[in-house]
Amino acid sequence: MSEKILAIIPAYKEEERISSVVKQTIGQGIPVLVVDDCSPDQTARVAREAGAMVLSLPINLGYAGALQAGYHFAVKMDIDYVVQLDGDGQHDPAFCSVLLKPIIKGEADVVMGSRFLDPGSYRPTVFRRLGQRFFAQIASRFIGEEVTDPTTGFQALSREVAELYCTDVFPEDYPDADLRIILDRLGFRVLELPVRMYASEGESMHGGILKPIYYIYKMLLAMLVAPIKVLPKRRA
Amino acid sequence: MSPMQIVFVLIVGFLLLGLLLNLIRYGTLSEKYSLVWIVIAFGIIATPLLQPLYNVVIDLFGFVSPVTFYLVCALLLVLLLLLQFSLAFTAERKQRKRMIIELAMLKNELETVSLRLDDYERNNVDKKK
Repeated sequence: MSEKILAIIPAYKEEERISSVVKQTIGQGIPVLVVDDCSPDQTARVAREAGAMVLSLPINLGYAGALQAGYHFAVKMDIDYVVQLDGDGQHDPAFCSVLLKPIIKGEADVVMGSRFLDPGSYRPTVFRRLGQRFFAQIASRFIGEEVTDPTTGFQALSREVAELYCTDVFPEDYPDADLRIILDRLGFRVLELPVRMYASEGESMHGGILKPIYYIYKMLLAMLVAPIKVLPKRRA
Repeated sequence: MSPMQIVFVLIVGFLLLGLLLNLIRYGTLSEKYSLVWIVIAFGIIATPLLQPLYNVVIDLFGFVSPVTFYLVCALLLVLLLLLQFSLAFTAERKQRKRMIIELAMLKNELETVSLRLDDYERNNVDKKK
């Protein structure tokens, strides 16, 4: 039985980098869906020319909204396994198969790529690293397992998890450490594997002064609520 | 503040905080729009502790009584909430307009494709005749 795999790449203003990411991912034998988050540049056209299917959002929904649009597409197309990576070249597409392997073998429901388990990956700035470590510690305490990279966007998931991510359980803005807690509560098997990541050349979603402050507030609140959040029941 | 006033303020503050967390828990209130409310809840809870600071502000700005000061603070927070709603509403309106235009264009494309399909079928029927 041939299983359907799809790579979802949310993209915003990535006309200069998206072609390379798409081509490298297709080179892994994985069809690609680029979710163009209402980019004001030629991201959609460049992605299409590189061989990707493109879902163009009429309004900017942000990273989480674009990802969720991708999940909806995957579920509608009856995809069995999803791998998601960034469109700015931060995630090395050669590791897509590494992340997908345990899902296809039935050993995990979600595999998260951790840059901190790979010695060759770039390391974020001190402040970002401190923040990531802080949220990783909180998530680790809740879950009872070590979480090394709570903010990774390089992941592979099973269809059941993709269906879950199509619901309101999926965060509106930053799908990070709080989602780990929710997955654990629902009994999904989550694995962390080393992946290669590079420093992002594009605009950071955490840039400026207000955004990081809001991010810290939002993540603290989300992680406080995640253990008591009302969740949908998993199908038997 | 008298002990009973402190108890009253703490009850109100914690009730509000509990209500907010419950609304967020059910997904009825998003974290984004809870920020000002959470600040209000913590502000209420912290009032007994911050009383000395409030007294300095009351004397500095010449408030007639602490109650007047609290009323002005409450009014300012309500104005802040209204401003947040106005900004959110403006953004939603712009997005709605964009989606309506997009929908109209999709509808037009669909009608064009449907007409072409009708023409194609008509031509095929004519050829068979």
